[in-house]
Amino acid sequence: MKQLSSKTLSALILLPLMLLVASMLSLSIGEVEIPFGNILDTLNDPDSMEYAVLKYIRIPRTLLAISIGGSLSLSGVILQGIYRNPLVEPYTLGISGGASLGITFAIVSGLFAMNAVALPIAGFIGAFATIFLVYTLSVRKGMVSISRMLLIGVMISFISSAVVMFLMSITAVENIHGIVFWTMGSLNETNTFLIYGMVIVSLAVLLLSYLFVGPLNVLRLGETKAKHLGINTQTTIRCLFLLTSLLTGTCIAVGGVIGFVGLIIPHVTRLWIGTDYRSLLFASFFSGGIFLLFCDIVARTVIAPNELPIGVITGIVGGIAFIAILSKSSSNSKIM
Amino acid sequence: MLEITDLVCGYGNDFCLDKVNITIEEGAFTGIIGPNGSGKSTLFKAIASDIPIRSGSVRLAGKDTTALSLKERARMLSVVTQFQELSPITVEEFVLMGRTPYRGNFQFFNSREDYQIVNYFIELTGITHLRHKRITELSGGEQQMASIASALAQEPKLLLLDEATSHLDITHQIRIMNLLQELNETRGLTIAMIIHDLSLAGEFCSNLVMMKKGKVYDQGTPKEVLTYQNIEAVYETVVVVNSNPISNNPVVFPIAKRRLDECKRSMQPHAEVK
Repeated sequence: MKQLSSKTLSALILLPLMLLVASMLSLSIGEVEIPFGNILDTLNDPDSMEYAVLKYIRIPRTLLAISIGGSLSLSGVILQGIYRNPLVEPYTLGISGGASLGITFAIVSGLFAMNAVALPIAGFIGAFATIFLVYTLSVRKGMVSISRMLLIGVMISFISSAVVMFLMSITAVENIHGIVFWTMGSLNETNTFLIYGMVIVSLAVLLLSYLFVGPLNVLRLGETKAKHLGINTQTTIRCLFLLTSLLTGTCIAVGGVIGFVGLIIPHVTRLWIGTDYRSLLFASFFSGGIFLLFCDIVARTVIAPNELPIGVITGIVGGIAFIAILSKSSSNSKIM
Repeated sequence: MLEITDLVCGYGNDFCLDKVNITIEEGAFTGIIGPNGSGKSTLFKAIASDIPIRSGSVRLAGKDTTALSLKERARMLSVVTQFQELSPITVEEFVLMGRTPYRGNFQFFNSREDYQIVNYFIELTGITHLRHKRITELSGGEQQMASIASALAQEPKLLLLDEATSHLDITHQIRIMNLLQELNETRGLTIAMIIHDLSLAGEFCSNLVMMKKGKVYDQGTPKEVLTYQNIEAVYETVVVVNSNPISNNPVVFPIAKRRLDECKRSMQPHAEVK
């Protein structure tokens, strides 16, 4: 009569603890060292320089790392659930590419200069258009062909980056710097609206995704079986597409293209706590947040005072971790 | 229980089902037989609303299936297929999936009643010793038993099995057929199954529907349907049909072509003598 496995319980306790430790590290490490014990004291001392560092640099950055990491990982786990394939994530499906195109368009056309909201909205539209296109193009006779879908995703990424380059070549020079900076992926965002918007969107989508946890669990047995069990798969998949586009679009608008978080983190989490989405959704979110926090700490310390683009770190760390895990787990065991 | 009237279905311009009329009474154990491509699986897909119906109707317990909600349909009908996508979940979790149509949209945990029903069917199908094993680690026969347990946990009025035993050894085939017969007789469960083994169909099913090229060729009791004339006409194969010495049900024997030729040759001189 066990409802929650011991692994789920351990994740429920361990993950928030790890997140707390990672956040403390992220707050204390940097050019201005703030020891662990002093963080609370500093926050009560608005006149000190450390207070300003925390308030205007480190706290926004930490919040951003957690919410972007969590969101990318959550999008990955949801998409993998829909497609029942561990290779699917916003980056490999071309959704990141589509969102980038939308965002570049918003910058080039001057929409962003008018209002910062234009950026996440353009990202969302780009992401949703891509996800919809990839899905409709890869469905044949009611069956989703995974190889077709990944190929279409890659092609859409190529097309989007070509169009992004085209837009960059015709735009004013002052826009180019912004676009280049942003495509490399960085958590160095100063717009408070975008930062808190990201935090709110990520938490809201995490909560909303729990409305679909039952259908996601049944979808593990395939779409036909889910339909036979009374699940409205069409509506479920459409709603989840909307949610993941919203997440990915916002993430890319705020943090730029940060690849592989949505691929590796859900994979590792699944190997750890199993495939039950009731625990997988929050565990992926937390693990993604922790992972990106650590990546960000590395990105801003290895070549200090300069900073590495965080996409570089996630690509290298994530790729190596992925290969290591894949070669360790037995090849014939299904992971989805 | 199930009334199919003038059903037409198909992909593209081909009609896989052409004006099919089948009635399955409550409490029947019907075998659907016919060669590959005769429309058996399409028929099941049409019943389960996996494919659209072009014309005609499928009525389940007096209600048109297109008018039923997904949940209502899932409470009346469950489908077991030959192979299905598997996920590394335990047998218990897998069987619990069968309770989905009875669960509220926002219900995160299984109820006590769900567990009782699942326990009952896990015991009934004889897979208690496997309940904490992952279904991906089971043998084909064990997986099929788990699929049946999951389908039964759905508490359907009609159980459809699409070649559920075709890839199994004779032990598992007969074990599953015995279980189905027991469920049919003691619980009054209506069963329709697509089955390729004609002798197995003849021994266990209460009536048979024989299909040929998208049409119903013949239907009735096994003795009426399983005649060598019918089998020759539908399968284009010569066989010998005899009766089982214990149950008296029809048994279909294959004949090697060489033997058949020898037999024909040995009959030739007699004809000349006459």
